[in-house]
Amino acid sequence: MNPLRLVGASIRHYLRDWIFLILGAALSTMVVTGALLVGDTLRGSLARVGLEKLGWVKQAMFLPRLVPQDLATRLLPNDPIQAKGQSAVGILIARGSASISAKDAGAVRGIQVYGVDESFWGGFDSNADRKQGVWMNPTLARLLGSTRPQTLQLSLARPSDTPRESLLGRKDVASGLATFEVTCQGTLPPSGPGSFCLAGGISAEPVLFVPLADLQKALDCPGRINALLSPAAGDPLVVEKSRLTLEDYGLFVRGPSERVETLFARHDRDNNKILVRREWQGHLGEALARELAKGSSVNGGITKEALLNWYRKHRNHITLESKQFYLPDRFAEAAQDAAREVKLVGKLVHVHLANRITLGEKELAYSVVVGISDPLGFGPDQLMVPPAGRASLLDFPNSPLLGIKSPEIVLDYFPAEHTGEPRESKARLPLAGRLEPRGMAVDFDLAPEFPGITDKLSLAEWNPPFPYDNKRIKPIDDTFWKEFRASPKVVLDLKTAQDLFGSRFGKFTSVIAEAQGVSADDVLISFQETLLQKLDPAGAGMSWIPLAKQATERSAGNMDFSGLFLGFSFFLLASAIGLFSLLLRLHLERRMGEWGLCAALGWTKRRIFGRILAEAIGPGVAGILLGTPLAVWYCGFLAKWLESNWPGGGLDGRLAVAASVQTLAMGGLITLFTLLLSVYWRSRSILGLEVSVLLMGERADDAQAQGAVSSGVVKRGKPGALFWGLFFGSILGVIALSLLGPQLGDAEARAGSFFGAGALGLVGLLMLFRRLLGYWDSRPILDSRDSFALGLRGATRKPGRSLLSAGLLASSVFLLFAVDAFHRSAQSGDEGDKASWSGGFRLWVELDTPLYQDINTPPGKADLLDNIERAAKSDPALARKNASEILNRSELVTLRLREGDDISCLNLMQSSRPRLLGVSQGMIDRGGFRFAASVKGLEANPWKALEGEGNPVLGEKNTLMWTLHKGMGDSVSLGEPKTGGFDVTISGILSDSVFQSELLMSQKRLLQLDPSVQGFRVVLAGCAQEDEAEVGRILSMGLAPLGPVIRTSHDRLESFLAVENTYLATFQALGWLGLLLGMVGLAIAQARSVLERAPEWALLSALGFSRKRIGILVMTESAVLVLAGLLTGLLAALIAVWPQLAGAGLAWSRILLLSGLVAVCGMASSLVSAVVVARLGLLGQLRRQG
Amino acid sequence: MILQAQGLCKSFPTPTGRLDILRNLDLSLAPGEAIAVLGASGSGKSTLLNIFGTLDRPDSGKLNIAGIQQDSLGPDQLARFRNEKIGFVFQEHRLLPQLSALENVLIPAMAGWVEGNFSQKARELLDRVGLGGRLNHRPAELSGGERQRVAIARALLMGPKLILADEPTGNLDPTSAKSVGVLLREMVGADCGLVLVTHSVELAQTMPRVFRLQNERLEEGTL
Repeated sequence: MNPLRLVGASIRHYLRDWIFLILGAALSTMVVTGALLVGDTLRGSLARVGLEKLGWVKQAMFLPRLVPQDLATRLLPNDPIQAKGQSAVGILIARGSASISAKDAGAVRGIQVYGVDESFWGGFDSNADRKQGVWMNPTLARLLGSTRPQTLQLSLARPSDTPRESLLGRKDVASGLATFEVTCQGTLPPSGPGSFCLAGGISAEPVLFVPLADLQKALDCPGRINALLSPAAGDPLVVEKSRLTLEDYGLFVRGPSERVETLFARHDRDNNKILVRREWQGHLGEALARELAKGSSVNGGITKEALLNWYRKHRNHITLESKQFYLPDRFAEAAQDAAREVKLVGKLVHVHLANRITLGEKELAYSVVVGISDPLGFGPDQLMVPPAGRASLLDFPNSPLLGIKSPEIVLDYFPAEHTGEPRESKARLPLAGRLEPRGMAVDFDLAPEFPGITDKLSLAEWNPPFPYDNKRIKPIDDTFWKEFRASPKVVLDLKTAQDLFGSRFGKFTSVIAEAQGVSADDVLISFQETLLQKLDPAGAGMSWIPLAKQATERSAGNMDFSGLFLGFSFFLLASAIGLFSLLLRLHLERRMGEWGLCAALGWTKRRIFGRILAEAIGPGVAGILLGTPLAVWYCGFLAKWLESNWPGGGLDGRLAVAASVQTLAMGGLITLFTLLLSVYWRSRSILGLEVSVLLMGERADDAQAQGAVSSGVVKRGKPGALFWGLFFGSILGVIALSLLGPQLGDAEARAGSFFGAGALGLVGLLMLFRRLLGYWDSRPILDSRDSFALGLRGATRKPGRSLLSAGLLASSVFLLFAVDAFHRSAQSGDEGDKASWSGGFRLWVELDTPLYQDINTPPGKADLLDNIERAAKSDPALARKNASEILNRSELVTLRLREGDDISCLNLMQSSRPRLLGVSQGMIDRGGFRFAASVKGLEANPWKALEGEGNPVLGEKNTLMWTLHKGMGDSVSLGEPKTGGFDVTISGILSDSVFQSELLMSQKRLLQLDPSVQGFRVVLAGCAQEDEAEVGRILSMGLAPLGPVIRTSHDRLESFLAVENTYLATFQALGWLGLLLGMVGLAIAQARSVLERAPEWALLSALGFSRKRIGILVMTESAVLVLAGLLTGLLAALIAVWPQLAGAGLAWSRILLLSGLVAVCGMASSLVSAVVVARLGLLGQLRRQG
Repeated sequence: MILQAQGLCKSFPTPTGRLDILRNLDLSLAPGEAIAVLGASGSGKSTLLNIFGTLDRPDSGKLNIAGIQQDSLGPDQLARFRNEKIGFVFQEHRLLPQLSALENVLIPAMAGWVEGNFSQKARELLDRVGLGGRLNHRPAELSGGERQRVAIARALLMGPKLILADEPTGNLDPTSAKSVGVLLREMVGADCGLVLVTHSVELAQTMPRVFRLQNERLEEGTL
């Protein structure tokens, strides 16, 4: 017989044993491979959902401003996709809220509204009907509670060219919000465009599709878009500079001809190339008109030719301005370079408005002040730069300031940027000199056009976005306005002007490229082209983002899901491997005589081991093959579990099992390795016995268990050094960690310390149990009535097996209960405490549309109260009064928000650009919240770290640890510098705070780094507990137009902690499955033990033991193990959850219920053993033995 | 009579029909009487002993032990009856490895039918079988003969009316076997009967009466 036949024959003979081992191996494979597949599944599902949401879109360009609609076709005119009838598609994105007009129900906040045209719909399916009208996606329909066609009321943030927080930005709600109705055609099916959404993340967002033209009209931006979509796969498309225009950058240039052409195009109504008075009034000054009229044949009219000649002679320059009024620095620099390249001289200009110019006792109202870098113009027209820090004053006819001797001029002005109500500033500047009202000194084109101001005939007609007092205006002010329009009355050097009027939006209002010796008109085109080459599209936000590629990349998630779920399945895995190991041990023990015989016949132990291994490999591989489909099922089970337990149902129906061959192979190999290790370990322990002992067969184990040595001399178990070492080591460890735990400030470290103490306690208690087994074994049973003692002695028969059984059970119970130590919950009752996790803020308000008024200022509060008064159903005045009183005793803090990825654990996708909150200096000074780490020396107020150098930020501990994988002092990238990104440094770590979705930076630094951040999107409200509901109601009503989503801090924190708790629950649920498996193992071990001892039961029966009594004996033995395991595990777990015991945060009912369940399962398995005994043919056993 | 069997029949089903083991077997055993039953392997000796020990029931016939009709007892009553009235000595000692010699002897008392402290009696019995100095030794620490002596002491603990010994010396060397046989005979009291089943003529010779089990019947005879 060759060795293979021997192996085959053995497997056949012990087929029943091997079948169980195959099942054990299959179970192990199921758990290992299944857990690994969860990683594949999550990655696959995240990528699939991400790509499904994108539909046909592979790349997108999100523009920070409105651009001409034709940019799409200009950028990708020759793209291959055009052959399929598609090109890059321009869309207009807006966000806001929607409600059903006919329904008195709440609005759905945070909806994405896409203004799209036919080319967008065509991208989904060439055979699909081209959609017309307004359509909502299923998520919006669900949130609105209706899928039927109906009229929707939309409130959307209105885009603005001018930064709303600049002096010229309109901050009132009406300007910032477009409210209109649309008729929705119905709900899109869930697939295709119905799943389309450009927002990242795995959850389905509410989306509304509106015809592009309709949305453009509603948002007052006809012909303009703010995003481009492209189906071009692969790397980001390159934006060709040559295809861009200055308008794409929000810039425009004006030369003499362009100015005249524009003026005539706008105002020459009869198109006769002559502007009559009523046509030029309000656009040209009287002084210029008079000058042009000299020698003109047209009475009172201005000919196009005359005006063009005048411009060419007196304003032979090109002006570069920005639609946002302020010219970003990089554009100004590029313009100067371009000017230099085309032989022009670029000069920088900053214009601002002074509310009042005072010289001595006299003053002028609403006057333009200009700062220039260089003298403007040539010859007698030249406007000189005054000495640094000094001001030149324009002397104009009848000026009240004429002849006044005063050493300094006083400027009252509003700062160029402000939030809410601007506060007037004052500047005192030495008077450098006076200017004649001629040449560039009265260049009304120095001030960029601004509708509502520069187009008004009279100062009194102004409609500025800032507080304006027309009572200040005196006739001479209006006279000047008519004469010289927006010509400056005060000239400063550029730096002084920038110091006084500079803002984050830009330090210039225009660049003037002067032409000397050539016509500005002649070089305009080359200047434009050169400038376009100098401008960086990416720096201006014009770069393609490979969304599809990112969706795939970001699907890798923030953490290693495979590792995570392998960890969650640890217990199940341990149980499965433990079960396999147990079955293997039983099998090998059963064949001890065989191994002994082989050894006696001259086989080496290595050869015997080889035979065992050869027998094990086949069933092992069979088990792995059987377990692989089970692994896919297990993965599906985990995915379903995760879907149904994920907070907020954000994963509902989103996860689909994905299995890669590599993962299946890896799972199989890991399992095989583990099983072979188990075979090695078990074989080694059995083959390590003396041959004579092996020859005794199964009975040798009795002797072994009692410490028999080969000589046959029995030495009953005395605890050795290892026992005492483990016992005292663990006790000391418990004491040390229990003392250390309360000293640790960090909640997780504290929990970890107690968990460690519990784990050591478990070791100590198991050692104690082992000692107890020894004690029971050695204690004489002298009282014949003590049949319980007889049962106990049965448990000591094989102490190793008993300890293993009890230990497995104890470990399961310990882990399953002890992880409760890490169960997270926002502590109720602390919300009012400034030093608590809530920082003393009970409410968190997030707005769809930014708030441009700080609600802590009187005008901001007044706006809020106005809204409340309007919304009040009865007695508006009383509602206002009550709200005012409550707000007065509440603390409201507004925060800025730089949009980015939610970096909390709620977002499974990998975060590439964390969202950032800007906090005010007041908030920094206020301090508060609980910190896990802070900059040394700033422990008293860790927020002060935000005032430091190097873009310091604060982050939440959980977020930093699990999502960003960063710690104190680490750097986090918030995008590439060339695209406006920057790096930040972690300078403080908050603990269990509400700021888990974002990083926190000082508002001042944030606005420096990203000037485009405007307004406040987050409001924190601190109040007394009894006011919480009322403050929430007030903010809901007062901020209603801005789409507030109000949550309590407690709820917000709970939603984050819910993810951790879901993970813990997953671990526990799988642990319970593992425990169930452990109980199966215990039952098998018990049944096997009972069967092994059938002759013993038969003897007892023969000696007069009733079946019931024998059953009780059997159950006593099992009960000892079950109870020992349960109590040991529970006691150890109680050490681990000790802090929760004091805080009453422990779910006692659950513990009792589950403990009871474990006990019942354990006893049930014992009962099975007892039943097995009862069904044994005791007589047969006697006969067999006899 | 300690034991009175009348017309006992027992057969077992086989693929070719029922196999008669015992047919109309009769036996009476008075107090203090000891008998040996000789028979070849497969003759039904153990079956007979199992029926006498109430571990098995006859197909027909009447069995009265210590004045009690066996067919009238339920399972628990039978268990109690065995505990109080019958002592078993098996071919293999059947000692529990986890218990000491003394504890093994005490096992019948742990069946819970009889109140009382049997510890002293167990010590005395072990003393009588010559193991007074090995009370706390485990079976693994005793020789084969010593283990069987413990088993004999165990059989006597509850003061049985009938001792049934099934090949008690089957695994012993001749010297030990002889001493066990003598011991058994000595230990049986005046109010107790002994039925020893064996195929060992030497052992059977230690008993006053010898029966042969052949042709499904008991026949008293001489060796």
